[in-house]
Amino acid sequence: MKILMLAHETPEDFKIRDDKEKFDAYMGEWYAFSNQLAEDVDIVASAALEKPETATVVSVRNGERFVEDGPYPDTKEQLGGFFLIDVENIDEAAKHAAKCPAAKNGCVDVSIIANH
Amino acid sequence: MNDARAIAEETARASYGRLLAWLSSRSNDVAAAEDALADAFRAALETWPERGAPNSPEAWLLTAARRKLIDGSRRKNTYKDSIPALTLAAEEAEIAMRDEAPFPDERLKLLFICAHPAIDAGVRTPLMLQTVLGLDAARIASAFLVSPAAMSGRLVRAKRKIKAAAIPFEPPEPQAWGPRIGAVLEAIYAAYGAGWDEIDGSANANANLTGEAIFLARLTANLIPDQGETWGLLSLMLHAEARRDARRKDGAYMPLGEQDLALWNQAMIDEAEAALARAWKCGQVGAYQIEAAIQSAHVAARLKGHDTTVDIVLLYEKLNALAPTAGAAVGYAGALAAAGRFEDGFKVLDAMHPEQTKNYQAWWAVRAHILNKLERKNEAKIAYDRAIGLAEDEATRRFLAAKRAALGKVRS
Repeated sequence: MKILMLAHETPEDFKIRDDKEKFDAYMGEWYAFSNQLAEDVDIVASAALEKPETATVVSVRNGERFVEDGPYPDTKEQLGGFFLIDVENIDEAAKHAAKCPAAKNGCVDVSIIANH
Repeated sequence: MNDARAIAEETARASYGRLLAWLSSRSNDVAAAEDALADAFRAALETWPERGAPNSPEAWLLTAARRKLIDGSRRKNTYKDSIPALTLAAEEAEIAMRDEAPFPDERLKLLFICAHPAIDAGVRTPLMLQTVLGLDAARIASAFLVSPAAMSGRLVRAKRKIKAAAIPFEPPEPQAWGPRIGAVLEAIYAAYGAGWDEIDGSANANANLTGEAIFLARLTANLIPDQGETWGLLSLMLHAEARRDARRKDGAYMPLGEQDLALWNQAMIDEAEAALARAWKCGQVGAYQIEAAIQSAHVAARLKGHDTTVDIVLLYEKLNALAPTAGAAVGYAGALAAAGRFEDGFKVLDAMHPEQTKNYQAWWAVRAHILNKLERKNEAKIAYDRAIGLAEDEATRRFLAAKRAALGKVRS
């Protein structure tokens, strides 16, 4: 089954991306994770996203198009990257998601790709 | 003819969970297995009365159910992968039928699936009652005080998730055993609680699930006999259940010390004590075992006349160190009061967080009792008022009102 892991990061973790001193260690964790993941499972696609403030939200209501700045402001944690992987079951997916650096402070959303 | 019907009903009662566990662990689809099993039971009720019941009713039902499952898979053509597994299952069923050997009990897998961390905690108990015991959604709904439609919706969603997320029908990995067993036991204890809430009310007896909860605990303990907490939970529930009839007299609440011992179920107490002994042998102390030991000490005090108040205080100390909850803290305060240590008991209550205590009936009732003993009658009266206001059943309200009246005239 194909699983989409969405890595939600905290504002503090996003700030590290601008912090020259901490950046290497931060990225090091991500590289270690994604390299190991590539060893363990078939990664269909994966990418890191730009910081959330660069995101734009588009919606259409009553035929009118709204284009707004910023990520959807529902939660404190914002999407920082994703992995589309092929695994056997939810337990296997959860095992990998638990190793994702985002799981430590933020959370990892594990969604099942529909099969229709 | 009635014999065949009786055999079908008997098989349903005794084997439903085993049949469903066996079928769903091979199709990885609880909902489809339930449908197939329901069809098989229907077919049994149609054909057995005419042709007589088969020698091995369970194997007959399995064979019929797996045919339905394979047909269903073929029709949908979406689960091609499950057909080989189901065909294998069919062969196994036929072997089981030939040998008349009992087929393997895989209900433990079902229990672990129902209490899987990816399943919403609120639906784990209903799911267990439905899949392992075959209770219908309406009966479960009445115990959980929701509408049958809402309960059935929750159950359908949970089963859809089991299938979509491919929650594996395998026991958890060794490092996850502890928490996973904890989740299973928690769900079983919740079934017991759902039953209890109804005891005092006028709601129908149908809602009472204590018997089902004890059945599940006994089953779990027998399936994983090396886990102390499974025996501990069984012992705890049996102890509480054994005194059920003695808790009320003419509609009035009877505290343990005043209960009529003739109304205690001695066989259940014996089973509870045996389960507790079994738990200790496993050598892993846990909260359920300590709670069962507290019950055991209370019972020994009444039955054998031993003074166990000090033992009970020590057990509560252990319980609060191991699994601190509001209930354990209030129990500790009550135990200290029973041992005559009113000031200490008061301190324990006082140290709790107001958010935990302000609407907690037991906290106010124990506080009232302790304040009374400390000759702080005014405060005791206020505490009794709060406890009475928070009490959900009439018998408890009457009991507390009598205590408050016994304070005598209090300056207000």
